[in-house]
Amino acid sequence: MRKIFDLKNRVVSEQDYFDTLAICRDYDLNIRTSMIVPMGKVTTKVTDICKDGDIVLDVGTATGLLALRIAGQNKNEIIGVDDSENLLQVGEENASLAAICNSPGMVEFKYAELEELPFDDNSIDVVYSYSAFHKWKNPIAVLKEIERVCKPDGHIYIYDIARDSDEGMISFILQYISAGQEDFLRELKSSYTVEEVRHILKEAGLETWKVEAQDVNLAVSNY
Amino acid sequence: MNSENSNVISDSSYWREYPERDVEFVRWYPCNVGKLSGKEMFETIDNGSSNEISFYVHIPFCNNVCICCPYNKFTTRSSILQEYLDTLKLEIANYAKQPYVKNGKFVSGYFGGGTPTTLSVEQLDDLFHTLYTELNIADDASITIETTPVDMTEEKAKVLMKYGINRVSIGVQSLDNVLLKRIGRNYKADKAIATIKLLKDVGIKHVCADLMWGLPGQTKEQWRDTLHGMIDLNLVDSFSLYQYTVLPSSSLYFKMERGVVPKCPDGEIQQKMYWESVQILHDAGYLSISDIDFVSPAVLKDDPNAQYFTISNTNGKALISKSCNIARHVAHTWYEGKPMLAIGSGAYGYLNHNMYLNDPDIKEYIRKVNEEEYAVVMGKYVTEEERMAHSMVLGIKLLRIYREDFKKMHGVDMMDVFADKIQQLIEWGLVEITDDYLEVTFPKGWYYMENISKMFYSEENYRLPQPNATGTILLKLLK
Repeated sequence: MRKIFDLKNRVVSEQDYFDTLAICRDYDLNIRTSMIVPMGKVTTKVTDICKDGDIVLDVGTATGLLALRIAGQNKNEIIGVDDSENLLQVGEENASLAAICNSPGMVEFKYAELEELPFDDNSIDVVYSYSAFHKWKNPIAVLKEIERVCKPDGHIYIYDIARDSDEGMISFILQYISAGQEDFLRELKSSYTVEEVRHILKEAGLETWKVEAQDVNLAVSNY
Repeated sequence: MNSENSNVISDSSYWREYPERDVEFVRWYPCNVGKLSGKEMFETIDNGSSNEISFYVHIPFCNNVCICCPYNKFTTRSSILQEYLDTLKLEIANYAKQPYVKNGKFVSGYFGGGTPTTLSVEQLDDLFHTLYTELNIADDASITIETTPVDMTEEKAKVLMKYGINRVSIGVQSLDNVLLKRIGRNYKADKAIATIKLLKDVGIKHVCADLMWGLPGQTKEQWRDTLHGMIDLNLVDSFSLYQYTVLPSSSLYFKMERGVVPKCPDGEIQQKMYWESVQILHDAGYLSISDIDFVSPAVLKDDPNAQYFTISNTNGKALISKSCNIARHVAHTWYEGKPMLAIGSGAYGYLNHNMYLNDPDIKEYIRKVNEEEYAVVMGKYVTEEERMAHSMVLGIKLLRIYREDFKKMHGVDMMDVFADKIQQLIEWGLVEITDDYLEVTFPKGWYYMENISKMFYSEENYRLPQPNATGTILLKLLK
């Protein structure tokens, strides 16, 4: 099989790439354009599973763009949690801008250790996560937490890049995103394959959840 | 926000398999480019190469940078312009030292950009002088230069005439002033018409106009008016019709999302616009070169060698590109797979069976030409097997490949090499084959043009995107 990129083994960098506020702001600026297409897809997906008034949790919200975007068009309270103070601060800046622009939507950002989500059992209607799963140090624990806080009839949707994606598609995206190509490939190297995610779900006792490949991403859902 | 807008480049613009329609415009082959230097390119000279050469000169500068343009360019205010022009001349001289280039006969050439005519009269004269002195350019060579309606003057047109640059491709885009303004073009329709008249008055043989359909908020009527307006002028020798594209990272994309600029018409309406224009042009006697290029019937009178065939299921005719001067450049590079010398930052070329890209970073380009002779950064040696694929991938985009031509180029019949793929395309109704030629069916094959082209990609190139002339980022990321 042809291999253009070195993606055989998962490589996780120990470095914290978001250690200064300036880097987080740059990252935020980049993804506003480079991630516009996938963010659009996840917005549609999450909107489909949200009823008016549902409490929505965004796990690994980063700078909160997607939470603000979804909240802007839905009647939901969205709580964005992350374990990076710097990213959350940029999220607050984004939320202020949204407020200045009279963008509708109730979004709140919270610092949280993702393995110990500060929410009661069965308290959330919709849990989603975008481009964060591969960063979780203990994905089994986070998945169990997500399962714990989500209502029994609630919806869970996790969307992340996938290391086993079509290499032609990866190459296509690398050529068309406006910036951050090296970051994208680094993140891709540290992401999982569909099979690996299935294995993690099994370990977490969540083998009934579905995993499917989508473009350069994979989607996990409990419905 | 709506990411389903059919003009926006997104992952749905990437490789699609029939019956899904592929929309990525195929213009290069092969796609599996890697690291390549100028030295490596000339390591062993293949004496079997054709000595008929073409050139492409890239001028990545514009007076007015358009919001939708994906090509690399700078404004002419850039202080680097003169340094760039000096480097072009040095690069031409460096290549001319290669016997491979020196002994070649240049039968066609193309100045693209950017806007090559942003250069002053003196700068143009200087560049042409170097090129025509250093290279052996045939008297009847077909040489094209791109221009906007505003960057052409009588003096510049006269310089073109002086050197025998006989084909001008003018980016008219639309005759609707509201639409022109909306897409950031800095002229009105009457200026475009005046420039076309000027070019003809000065004596430019072929004036070719680019028109865009699917512009933000464009109606079918507005598109029809532009097309009829251009035909009625009776001055334009060929039309190229391009679908307007929007990069998702562009300011225009966000303007559309904010509602400042209307969205592009929906996909179905755009399809109607396209097919109606094919009908209008064929009815007016224009001959197709590809699914987007149409040549005035006057060419049949002017060019004694021009040959055509009738496209089945239509009243339309198609020009056999290799037979006529007006299509010389595209026939040379796409149909015949002959060499092309690339000059300038970000230019793609094909020399000594190497497809190559010059550094798109303009400063690096300047440094490399001055310090290392060539500015080649990326490319691929094209094997005989891939040359055959090239003949199919790009040749079929000119609507018909003659089996005799293929055999002359490669020593075998196309059916001996590609029978399975051709058979599959026939089953899908996308091509027809006779004893003499392989032809794209109308209208179905035309609709699936990129699918047909990609069908002939080799296994190594399967599902790879077209090489991007603006970036070498891949080099850093490849395994």
